[in-house]
Amino acid sequence: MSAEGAREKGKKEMSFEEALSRLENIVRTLEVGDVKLEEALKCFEEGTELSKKCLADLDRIQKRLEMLKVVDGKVMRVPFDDSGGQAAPSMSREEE
Amino acid sequence: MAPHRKGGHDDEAPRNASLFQFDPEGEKSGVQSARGNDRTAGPGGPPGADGKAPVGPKIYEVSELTKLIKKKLETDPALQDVWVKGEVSNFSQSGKGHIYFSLKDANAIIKCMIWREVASKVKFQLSDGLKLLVRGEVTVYPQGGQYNLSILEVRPEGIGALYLAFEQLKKKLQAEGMFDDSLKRKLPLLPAIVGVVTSPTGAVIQDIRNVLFRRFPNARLLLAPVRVQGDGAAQEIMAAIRLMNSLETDRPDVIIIARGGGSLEDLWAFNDEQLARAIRASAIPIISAVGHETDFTIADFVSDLRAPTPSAAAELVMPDRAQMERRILDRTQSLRKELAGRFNQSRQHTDDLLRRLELGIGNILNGKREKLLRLTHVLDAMSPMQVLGRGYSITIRQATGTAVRDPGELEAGEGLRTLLARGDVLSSVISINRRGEEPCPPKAQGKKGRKK
Repeated sequence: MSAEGAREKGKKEMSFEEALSRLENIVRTLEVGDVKLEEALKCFEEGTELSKKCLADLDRIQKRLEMLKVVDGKVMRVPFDDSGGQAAPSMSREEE
Repeated sequence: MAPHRKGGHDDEAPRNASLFQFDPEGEKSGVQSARGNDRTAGPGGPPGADGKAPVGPKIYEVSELTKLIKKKLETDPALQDVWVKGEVSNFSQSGKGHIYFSLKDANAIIKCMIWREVASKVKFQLSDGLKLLVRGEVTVYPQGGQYNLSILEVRPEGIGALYLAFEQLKKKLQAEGMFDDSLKRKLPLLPAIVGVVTSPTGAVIQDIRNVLFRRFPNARLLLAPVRVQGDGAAQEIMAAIRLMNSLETDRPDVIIIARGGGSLEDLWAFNDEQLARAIRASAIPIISAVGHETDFTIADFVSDLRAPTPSAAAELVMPDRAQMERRILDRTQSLRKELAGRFNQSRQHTDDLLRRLELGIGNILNGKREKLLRLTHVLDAMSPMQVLGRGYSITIRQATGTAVRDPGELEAGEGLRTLLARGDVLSSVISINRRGEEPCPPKAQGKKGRKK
């Protein structure tokens, strides 16, 4: 149970690539065979979770096109105009 | 008439957004300092010009003296790894690929040769009148009475000084271990935010943007607008890197530093030592894409990854979403398939066991049955009834119920019961004959005492 808990916790911090590589490892383990049915079931469950997480990660990224701007030493983000940045305001030098 | 190179507008438009405004006036400082390195051609006049043997206590053979000169010149460290600039004249190339020419300035001339191995590495065509910066060693050719410069490295002059500065910085940083592979960080597989440090105008940001969104339609891009050439550009790029690193929220997961192609002078900002150190110090992995595929800058060497072009950088940084999805779904499917396979396998195994169990029990039962049958036969064969059937009989003393084996034990008049195959007969003893004895009447009493 505690291992389960740890895994649950680990999952939250897992990066996309960690999750993906874990998923691939699980598939490989299953493919190689030698896994008991019970363990295979566990692998399947975990793999399914990882797959969901990975797909969710792909969706979580929000399309945005922004530009950093420094005004009076304050950092701001403004939408970046696709069409060539004509609207870009002038920037002051900053020391951040 | 300006679209001759990518990102080339950066120095022309004052309205350009730039994160850190520098006064673009004056000379390019990096260029200047490198150019200020004012080297003149090597030694003034060739030694031993008049070639007369000295008169004095020691009289040399010509070859002896030449040997001495050769030794002097060729072991002098100051003459063994020298950079010289000058103009090419009397250029010729031998059939074997060696190159011969002279390098001259207004006051002197020196014979030069480039052996074939080095000549094959020279990337541009040499010709008379060309200004060169060369690195070589002074050698003496006794048969010709000449000293020569044997050339190890050739660069076109002008940018030659820049090359020199570039090489020196590269060597220095390399010696510090700044380019070590062990320092290179892996780029994240899926960056939630891609930072881009480049000019907000021009083709580069558009290329990056196009590739990024083509590969990953919901990508997120954060641009730090900077000037990418001219005075102060290096400082702006540096500040942009630091700024991105300092963001407390929504920090980029990776930074692309990009610039389109250009001359060495155009790319010079990316050969700045401070910039190199800022790149190395960045906590966020950095991928550089400066100039064309053949252009290398110091920034390329210190970055975690170098991309040949800005578009390539975007490709390297952002996964193709469709492909990535397919990869995940493929794995998920394999997972299902494998599990189903495992189930089937288990079921098959169970079935198999059951079948074997049944078979085993059947075998055991059959064996037992056979044994039983065999035993029954044996039993049958031994049954007394079988014996009676063949005409034998059994005689039993009626008094004791025991079978009679020895007539001696019988008494006259005693009742006997004789068992036959199909019934029995009651009779009484009339006379007794023991085998091998005379017949005699039965005794009045039993020999062994009667039993009751």
